Amino acid sequence: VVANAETVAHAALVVRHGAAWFRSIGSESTPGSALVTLQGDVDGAPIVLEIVGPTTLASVVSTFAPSWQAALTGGFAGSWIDADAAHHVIVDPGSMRAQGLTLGCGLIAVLGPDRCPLGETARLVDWLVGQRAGQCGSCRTGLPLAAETVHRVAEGSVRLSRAQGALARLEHSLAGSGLCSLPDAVLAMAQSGLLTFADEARAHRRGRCCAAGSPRDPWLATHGLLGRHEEEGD
Amino acid sequence: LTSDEAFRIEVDAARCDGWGMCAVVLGEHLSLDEWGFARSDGRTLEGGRIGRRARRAAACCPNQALLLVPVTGRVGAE
Repeated sequence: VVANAETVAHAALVVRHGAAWFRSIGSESTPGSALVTLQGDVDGAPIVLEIVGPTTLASVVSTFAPSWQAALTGGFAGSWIDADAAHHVIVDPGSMRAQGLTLGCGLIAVLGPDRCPLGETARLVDWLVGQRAGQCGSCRTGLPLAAETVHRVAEGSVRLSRAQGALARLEHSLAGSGLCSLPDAVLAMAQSGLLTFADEARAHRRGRCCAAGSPRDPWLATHGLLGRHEEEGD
Repeated sequence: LTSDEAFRIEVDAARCDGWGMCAVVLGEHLSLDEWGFARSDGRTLEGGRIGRRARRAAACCPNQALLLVPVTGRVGAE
């Protein structure tokens, strides 16, 4: 149990209507409703939603974003899901975990059709790597290599399978090695990005990018979610 | 840690600077990752002989990054 807004909202419902009523909503593994936050390329973002009953990720996002290509669920260190696959994903921590995905903090960051998913993944990895405390040697040394690998995929200067191999090796060296799990989380997100955008990565290798146009402003930075220095550095 | 107490070796990753001497002294339980930082196999060790060598490995670290943690009770004995 985490004492956040969702927990407090749920506690109020349980007190008012009783545990049996609360358990009648939601799934077996995750009783009650789920609070999620839509961010990114969504009109009026951020939008906080209460989800009751089994709902697909596709229907949740499409209600607010008529056209989108992918979403990052579970926060910056979460999992990428493309719009097609989102039809088979129920927004519920239990069933998402069963699919190897994460709802984590409930953040759903929506990527519009005019943005390059590999470029955005690389920027997110950069940002996360920049947030590391730098206490443990292997993280200090290894995480920048992960960022470089993702950047090279976005530039099209490395074969996808080679990059995936490099990230898997880094994960082997870094996972569980340090005092915190930042390296594990960053590598999981980076690998999820390369897997989800494999077609895009192959297109980049051939010198093309599937993103339809150039977006007006950096993704997520517009909402102050990524640091200002990053906006300026762009 | 008494001389025949069961223990395991932990590496304080924030202290380790990759000198690598511990892996020379106790290579069967301490390895170096691809950048030279130490990792312990985390196994429970017992006996005066291995205890002495583990203490030597810990003593030769300039950063005092090795911890010999007493293991009380059997973990995973069932």
